[in-house]
Amino acid sequence: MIVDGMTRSFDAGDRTVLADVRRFVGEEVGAASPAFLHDLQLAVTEACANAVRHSGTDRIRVTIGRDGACVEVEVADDGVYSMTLPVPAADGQHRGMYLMTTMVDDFHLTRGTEAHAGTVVRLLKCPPP
Amino acid sequence: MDDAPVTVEMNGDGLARLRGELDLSSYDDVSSALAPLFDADGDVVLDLAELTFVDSSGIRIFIRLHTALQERGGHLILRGPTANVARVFAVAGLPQMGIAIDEVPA
Repeated sequence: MIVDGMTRSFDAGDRTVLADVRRFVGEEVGAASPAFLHDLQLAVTEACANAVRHSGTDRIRVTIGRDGACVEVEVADDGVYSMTLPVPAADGQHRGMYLMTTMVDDFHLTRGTEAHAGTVVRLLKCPPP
Repeated sequence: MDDAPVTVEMNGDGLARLRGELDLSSYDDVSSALAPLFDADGDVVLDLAELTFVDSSGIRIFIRLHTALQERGGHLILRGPTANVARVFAVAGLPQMGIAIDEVPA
């Protein structure tokens, strides 16, 4: 759980859902370097794209909060996690998880299952020292 | 594609310009728009100076296009990416695949 975070719910079937999520991240993060904001938006985009493409969820809930100087983002869906190991394929498939994890300082994945639907991806991004 | 976050402008002779934000939502539309370039002879240049965002889906389009061009000895050249986009290309390993990242000074 992110304490004192701001949550917004998005329609996973909306054509502009990923761009809308990026706008939300930009609004909530506020003042930050362009590279910091971009890299966080990319990681969140990849987390949401996984939910849209693989989980079967109708909605995505994005929560943004602060942990000291760092920004925490939680992406939660109502689906089932169906990805295999994030090994990049020759045609560029599965690069999403790789990019997502590279763009943040830490991440945690709680996989939704058939018995307990709902995947939660938690991302932590900190400014450079 | 009226409300599309990304637009594709085909300029002939293996040249196209992408503007806006390229992500999973626009993967099919952008793939279709760029389809003629997959059959190009020689190199293809994509002008990315006004592409402000690209995710792994966009990366995948570029890799597929480059792979198709390589079959006829051609290469993909990504021209003028912004600093953020160029960093994503580097992390994704596009230069190691032979895709040229042509960073034109602004």
